[in-house]
Amino acid sequence: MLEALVVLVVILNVWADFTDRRAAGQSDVYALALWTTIIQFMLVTPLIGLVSTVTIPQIAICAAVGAFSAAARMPWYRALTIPGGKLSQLAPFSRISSVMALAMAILVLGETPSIHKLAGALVMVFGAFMMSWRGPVQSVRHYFSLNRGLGLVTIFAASTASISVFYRYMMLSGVSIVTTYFFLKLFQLCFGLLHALHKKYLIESYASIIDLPKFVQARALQTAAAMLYIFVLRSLDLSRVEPIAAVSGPLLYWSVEKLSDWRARGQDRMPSGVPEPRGRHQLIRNAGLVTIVAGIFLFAQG
Amino acid sequence: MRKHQIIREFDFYAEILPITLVGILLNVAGRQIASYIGNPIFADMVGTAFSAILLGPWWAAAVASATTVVNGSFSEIYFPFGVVNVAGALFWGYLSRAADLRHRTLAPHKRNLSQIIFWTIILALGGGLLTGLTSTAVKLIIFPPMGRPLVVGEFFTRIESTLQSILGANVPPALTLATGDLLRDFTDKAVVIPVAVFLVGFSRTAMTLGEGSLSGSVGERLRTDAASIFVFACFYSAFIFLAQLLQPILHYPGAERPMAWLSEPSVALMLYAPLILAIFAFIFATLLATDRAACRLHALRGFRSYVYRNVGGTNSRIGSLVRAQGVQPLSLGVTLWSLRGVVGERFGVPIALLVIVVALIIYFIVARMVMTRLSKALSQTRTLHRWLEIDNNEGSAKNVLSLFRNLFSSHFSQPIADVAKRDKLIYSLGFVNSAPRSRLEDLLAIRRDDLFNERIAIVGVVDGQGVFTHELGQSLDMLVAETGAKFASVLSSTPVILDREVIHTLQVIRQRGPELLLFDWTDVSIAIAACTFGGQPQASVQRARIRFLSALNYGDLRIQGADMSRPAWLASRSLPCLKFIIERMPRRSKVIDLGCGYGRHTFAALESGHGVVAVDRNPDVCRTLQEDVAQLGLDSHRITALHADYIDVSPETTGYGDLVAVTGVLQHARDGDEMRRRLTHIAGFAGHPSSVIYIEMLFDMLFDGAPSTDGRMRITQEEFEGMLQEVFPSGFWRIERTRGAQRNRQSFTNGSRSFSAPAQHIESTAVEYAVRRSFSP
Repeated sequence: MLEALVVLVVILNVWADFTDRRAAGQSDVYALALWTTIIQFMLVTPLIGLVSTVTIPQIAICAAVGAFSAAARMPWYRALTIPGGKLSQLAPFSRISSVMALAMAILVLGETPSIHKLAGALVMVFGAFMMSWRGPVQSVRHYFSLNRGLGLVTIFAASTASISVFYRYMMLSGVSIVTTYFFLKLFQLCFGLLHALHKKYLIESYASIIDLPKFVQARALQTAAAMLYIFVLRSLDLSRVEPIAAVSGPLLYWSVEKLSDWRARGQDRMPSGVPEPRGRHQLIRNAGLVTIVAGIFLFAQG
Repeated sequence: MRKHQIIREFDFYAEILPITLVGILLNVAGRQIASYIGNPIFADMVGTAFSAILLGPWWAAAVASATTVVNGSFSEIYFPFGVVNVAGALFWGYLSRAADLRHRTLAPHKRNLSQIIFWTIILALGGGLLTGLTSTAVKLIIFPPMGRPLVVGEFFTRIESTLQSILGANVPPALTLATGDLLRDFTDKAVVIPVAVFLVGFSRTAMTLGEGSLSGSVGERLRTDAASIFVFACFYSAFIFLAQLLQPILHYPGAERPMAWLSEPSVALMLYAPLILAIFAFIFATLLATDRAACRLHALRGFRSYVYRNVGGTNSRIGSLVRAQGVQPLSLGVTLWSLRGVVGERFGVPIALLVIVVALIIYFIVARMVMTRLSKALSQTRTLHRWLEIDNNEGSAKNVLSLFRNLFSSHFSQPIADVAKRDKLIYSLGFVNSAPRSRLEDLLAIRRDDLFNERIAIVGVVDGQGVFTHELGQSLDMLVAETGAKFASVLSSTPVILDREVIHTLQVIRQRGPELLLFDWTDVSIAIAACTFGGQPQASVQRARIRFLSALNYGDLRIQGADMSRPAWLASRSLPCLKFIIERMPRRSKVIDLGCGYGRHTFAALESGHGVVAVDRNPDVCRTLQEDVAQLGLDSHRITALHADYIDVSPETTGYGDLVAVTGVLQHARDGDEMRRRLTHIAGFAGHPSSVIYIEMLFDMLFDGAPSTDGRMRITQEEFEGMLQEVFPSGFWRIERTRGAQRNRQSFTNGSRSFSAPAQHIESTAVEYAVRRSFSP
């Protein structure tokens, strides 16, 4: 039963990502990042009673992670707005955060990695390189220009990794997950507001979100998924939850995108101007996707 | 973006702020009075109902959230019941809006006492039922964790014994609780709602609020709702935040132990309910007019209106039957009975009443002053728009003349003759004011005869199509010669005079001596705004003067752009009326420029801070536009230039525009069917409820003196306007002629043009239209 809830969490996240994708087109990335923090904070406010106090060092760490994760949303939305970028590739690629989280956990928390985790991490890194392969390139700059979307997702993945390590640190310190989540959202909001004040887009920004209802809908879905995830984690181990998410997530992204492509072809309105990848390249990218999934699976066994 | 631009339906400072503050004050005072006199009523939702009727559901919900914080700081047991207050606000807001209660209560010509009483009863009964059941739900959630029995106190024990005598010994405590809460809430709302309705009706402060909002488009209302939902979410989050800061521990009478109530997961879940509702409402409120869901919603509105007409309407069978059976006397009796204990017993009551009365008096005086001005401005704007609409008549021109004279009364004295007409010119004669009156003289309405000398003025408005033609110029010249006028001002819908014959006539008039002011509707709009806020319409007079001088010096104007950058020069060439609209749209609106050419409207929109999607089928023009855009160094999301024929571009690619500009494009249609198809296609881009389509149509085009040979259709202005009315039916759209018809002659000997035609000189008659969505709720 609880495993089914994990799949539901994945479905909600996939739904939110696709909704985000639609809402992000042609919108201002600063505005998207700011309003994400505002709406998520409002949605988490009713949980304020479950929030306990934290120490000054914990607040400082929370502020740093909150600022970084809020700032990292901008590259994520920028990646979503790149024409032709497929969510079925961007989203699984962001799972590379698990590798970064492992590295941070070893360096910051002093954890000892298992063989499974190291092997899984290596497989995921290999899979990530496969996904970024576009054939022979002339220079490193050319390689990065071809993989601008994936580069931006890597920044977002780093922020996700920092959040995971932060959660772990707070849990080891005995702070509840709701408290951690609340303070994280609070500091994300603070960073968002300060950035908006500095760049002078606080008041006007909401008008530049092209599809505001979809955007709000995505935030509601994400918060619902987060709440459900917290609920599931109270009863299930991470080692059980992660493999289910690892397998069902990419599969769902892939199938939804194929379905929408198929429907668009049926209605003869495929987006023009987006070059289709060549067959061999596409094959390697798909193989990279499968490798990352396998890596996550292996990673979670440790 | 300023607040009044975000909140479309109401003015923030004149309407929303005072009403919400008075609402909060009424709620707090009501609660204090009720607790002083120990009445079984709560009286803490008078302000909520007051603001729900005036401002709608979500502003009222914001009032409810704020009230909960204030009342909760007096007594902690009040905090969890904030949800009840919000539920009442939403119910009353939506129902009173649907029942048109605001308008019924405020507008003198619509005021109908029996209707008001009928809807007051419905609001009281429905509100009592909803708040009673919500109170019970809240108690069921918070009492068990505190170890408090559900049935405590004399009142509930009496209800339990009554229920036991009817239903037997095993009466569930929840049923007793619900019955008691319902009884209390029905009694409470029987007092609260009539008081709120009375205050709304008695105040009569917000007359324009009722009239204006109903005449406004659904788009304005939806935008207001979207903004108010967000404000509510902020207030509600603040309420929960402050609850945690002020009273995190709940001590309830009769409870075994105190409770950290916000730490209870079930309470947290309950607190989520209004926010989730707000999210759904927000998504609903921001649906695009062309969405399938929005169309269904519109159909539902129609059904709802049908139901209300048949249930509560003046002539409805059911409504009159219910009223005939004595609902009115009954409601009056219930109200008086409920108020029997309100006559003061302690000192608190008179003090609280005094506070209410003083606050209300201040509010009523200020609001009344502002509302009167806004009401006047609204009526003046309507007069102007009626004149601009394509099916205007002579009456609307006379009304505009009267408006024109009033607005510029500091410059022209009252007429010395009645309104007269010569050809297309409707005019009146008067004197020119030699010096404007002082503000004090204005306020005291002091008449100073020395302000007027013998300089005779002609004040005129152009009838019919509103264009300043050569013939009209000749009529004006003759009039000047006959009257010996030293001053003439003419209002037309032609913002720039380019016709050489007209310019020649103007030069002839100028040689006779009189000063001439050429006004257009944009000047009148600016003058209305200036007069509304207590200023003088100097800016409009200066604009009219400059327009006249520009027309005389037309030949020099074309070289003015020599020192400008190319984008700035292009922006300066945007059609004046279109530019007027562009400059007054909220920043970061979306403009779709179909057939953009080199981008004169595109750059005007970018200058004003909007985002633009520019479409043109000429590849060279597109390339040049992209180079010009690159010069500006704008963010890529601000401008998208598409190389395509606009008929091949769909709203799915461009998104919906707040403004869709289609200038000098439609004349390429080959036949009537194609024209209709193109117009229908263009309508698809105006998906937002407040979208405007701006069309410039060119008629009777001559290329080097000869008609076109490329197979384009010949269409007259009347035929085209007929098609416009067909594609944009009047129930859903409003079509205004903003300029023209005006004959232009353009020379392209230097090759600067964005379209492919071999001619060096092109003559055309241009007419411009603003088409807006306007469907009634």
